[in-house]
Amino acid sequence: MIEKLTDNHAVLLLYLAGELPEADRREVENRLSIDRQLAEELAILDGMHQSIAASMTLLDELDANRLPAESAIDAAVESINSWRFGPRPVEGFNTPHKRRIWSWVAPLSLAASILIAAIIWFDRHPTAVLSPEMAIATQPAKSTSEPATSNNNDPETNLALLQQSFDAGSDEIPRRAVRDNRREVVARDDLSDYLLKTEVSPQ
Amino acid sequence: MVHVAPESVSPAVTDDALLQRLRGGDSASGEALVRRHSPALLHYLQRIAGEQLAEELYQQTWLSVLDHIDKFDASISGGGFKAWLFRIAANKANDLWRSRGREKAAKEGIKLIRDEEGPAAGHRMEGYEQTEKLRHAIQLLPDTQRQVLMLRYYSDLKFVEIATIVGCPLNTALGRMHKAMIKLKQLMEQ
Repeated sequence: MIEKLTDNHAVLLLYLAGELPEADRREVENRLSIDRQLAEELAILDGMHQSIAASMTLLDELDANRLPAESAIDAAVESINSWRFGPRPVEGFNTPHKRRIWSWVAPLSLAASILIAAIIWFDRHPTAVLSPEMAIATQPAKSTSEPATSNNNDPETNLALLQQSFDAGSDEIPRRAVRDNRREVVARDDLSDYLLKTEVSPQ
Repeated sequence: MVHVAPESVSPAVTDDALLQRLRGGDSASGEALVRRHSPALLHYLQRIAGEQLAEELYQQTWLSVLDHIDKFDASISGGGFKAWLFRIAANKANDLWRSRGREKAAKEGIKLIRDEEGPAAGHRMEGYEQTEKLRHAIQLLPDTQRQVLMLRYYSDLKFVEIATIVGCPLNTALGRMHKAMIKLKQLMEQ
């Protein structure tokens, strides 16, 4: 063992503690008998050890009444008795597992509540985040008589559809007509202006 | 399974035997283990963490023992139950330092110690002054040196076992012990 130690003090500490193997202990004693300096180092080390040990004993006596040893021991014994009947710690102890559970449940509940509220709100206000064109396009048709739509891209036909819608008193602009002729949403009040302004290129 | 009262447990009954009985549900054996090792354990934690933190670490140590009692194997774990107990305590102290900050914990420990100063009745002033010097000197040691020194004095573990607990080579543990002793001597002579 001593061949692995790098300095004399390490060897001497093990020698003082009585933890050297028998062969190493005899070797150290042989060296001590012939090496005076090593013997002096051992004496100094032993003196320090004895002095500190004695002071530690006094310190422990001084602190004997400061540490609530009995109550701490009783609490530990209580935890053993509780453990015997189940893995739960007694009340009043730190319960890190309990704290860990509640540490993620609360934020998760809050996030779920916010999500549900958002879903409900957006369901009631679907146009809140839609562009005006999309808002108009997604609104259900109010008029029972749907204006006729045509696949014909003839501007004249589309203009006719717009006129038809205007005459019907519908606030809805035929989607096709709006898309094909103009990109802007035209309110009913402006429809008449629109019809007047729109020019139909002769065929 | 024979259940015995803790006060009647003979010192000759080994820790391993008590542990086996505890695993079998004998809480009296568990109590005997607690009472056998508590004085040294409490003093050790008191020296490295201060009194208020010592009790918290003490309870955490025993709870950890109960949590891992089925995994402990004396034949594999060097040093037996006592070494395992102090290893858990040392790890708990390290965890506490990491979570609270070593500096803050050291200040708490020193502050708590200073707040509790005061000569107890019946103590000679000379002896009291020396022990108080020692108390402060211990707190001024580097953590690594204090750990080894306190483990040596309170756990009676071999240096090989102490080195395993603190996770360093034997030579390093002995070096820390030597430096701690020299530093303590210097601080107490000031």
